[in-house]
Parts: sequence; structure tokens; C-alpha cells
Amino acid sequence: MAVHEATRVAPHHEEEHNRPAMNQMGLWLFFVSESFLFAALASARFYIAGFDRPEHLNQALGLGITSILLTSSVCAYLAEAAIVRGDRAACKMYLLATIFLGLVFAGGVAIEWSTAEFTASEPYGTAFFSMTGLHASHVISGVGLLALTYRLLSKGHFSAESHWGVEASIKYWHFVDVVWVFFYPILYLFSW
Amino acid sequence: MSEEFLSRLDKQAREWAEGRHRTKRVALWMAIFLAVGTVLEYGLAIAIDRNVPIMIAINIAEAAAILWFFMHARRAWRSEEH
Repeated sequence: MAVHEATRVAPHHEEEHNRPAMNQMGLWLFFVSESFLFAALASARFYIAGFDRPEHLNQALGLGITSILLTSSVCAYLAEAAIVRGDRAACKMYLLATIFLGLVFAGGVAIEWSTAEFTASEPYGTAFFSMTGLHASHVISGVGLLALTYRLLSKGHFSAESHWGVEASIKYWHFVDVVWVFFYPILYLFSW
Repeated sequence: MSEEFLSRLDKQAREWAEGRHRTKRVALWMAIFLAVGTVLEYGLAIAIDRNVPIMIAINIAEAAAILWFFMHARRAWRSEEH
């Protein structure tokens, strides 16, 4: 009987012990799979439009929204660092800042879409709208995730010892930022 | 209150303050690094016609910094309690 009990309890305990590593692995595998999707679009940009880009591309707007997204990543880092040391108020403040900057970024992309002098039927336009559209959808979902995290924080969830939800949503935000680090020059700056 | 308790409390407060200071230092240096990288990219795009290799190098450096310092990539291989 004692042996049977030990066999029944042990696997559950082992699973719980491995939970943090499983969480991390699941999240990183998700990032890897999403990377293939973004890489496919990025390579399609060069296949259909080469290194061409319109003369009157709004470079100032591109630089502006890039700066905003990078700043939001710094805020997200500070939010995670705050919950690691148990400072819920600071975590909420930095999360709000990240959400606000994310929304500003999405607004900038919307302005770019509405004022673009090229259309989706042109090769560059196809690449531009598909790349920025897919990225913007990730930004919107990231904002939603961060907003949910903020709400859960407000209700008393998460602590210095247990904050996987905060860490995962912020890592997702950083991933979205990393994608833009490559997309921005591919769309706005590359020339050959 | 015992002296041991007070010294432990003091040690925790110091560690908390040091952790916060370290965090802000990392955030500041990353902000500077990313800002310089972005401005450099923009400047190179204006100044150089064939800029793809150097742009890619800058992009990889920025992405690696975000992965390492912000996303804690090295923790992906470690089992930690959350």
C-alpha cells in the first residue's frame, strides 16, 4: 500500500516541480513558431519588391513609432523588475505606460496606413501592409494581454514569488518589439 | 525586537534597494543603446546607398540585447520558481 501511494504521488510532484521549465519552454517554442511566420513575410518583401521603397515614405513617422515601441519595451522591463521585488504599485504604473505607448504605436501605424502614397496592389505596398498589419495585430493582442495582466494585478493576483503571468505577457511584448527591430529597417531603411 | 531580526530586515531592505538600483541601471543603458542604434540606422540609411550588411549587424545587436537583458534568454534553460 505504501509503495502504491508513493507511486501515485511522485509523478504529480515531479510535474509541479518542472512547471516553471515547462512554462518557459512552451513560451519560447511559441516565439520560435511566430518567428517563422514573420521571417516568411520579411523574405517575401524582398522576393516581390526587391530593395525598392517609395521616394515619399514617411520616414519621420517610422522613426517616431520605432522610438515609441522601444521605449515601451524599457517600461515593460521595469514593470517585470518591479513585480520581481514585490512592488505591485510600480509594476502597475509601468504596465500602464507600456499599454499607452503600445496604443500610440498602433495609432502611428494606422496613420501610416491612411496616408500612404502607395496601395496594396503594388509590390512594395503588398509587403508593407501585410508586414505592418500582422505586426500591428500582435501589438493589439499584446496590449490586450498587458491590460488583462494589469487587471489581475489590481485584483491582488501575482507576487514576488509567483508572477509567471506578468513575466509571460511582458516577454510577449518584448518579442513583438524584437520583430519590429527587424521590420522597421526592412521596410523603411534598407537599400542596395 | 531582536537584533537578529532587525539586521535581517536591514539586509533585506538593502538588497531591495540594490536590486532596484541595478534594474534602473540596466534599463538606462538599454534605453541608450537602443536609441543610439536606431539613430545610427537612420543616419546610415541617409548616408550610405548599400547599407544592408551594416543594418543587419545593428539589428542583430539590438535584438540580442533585448533577448538577453529584457527577455532573460538564459533563464530559458533553467528551472525557476514563479
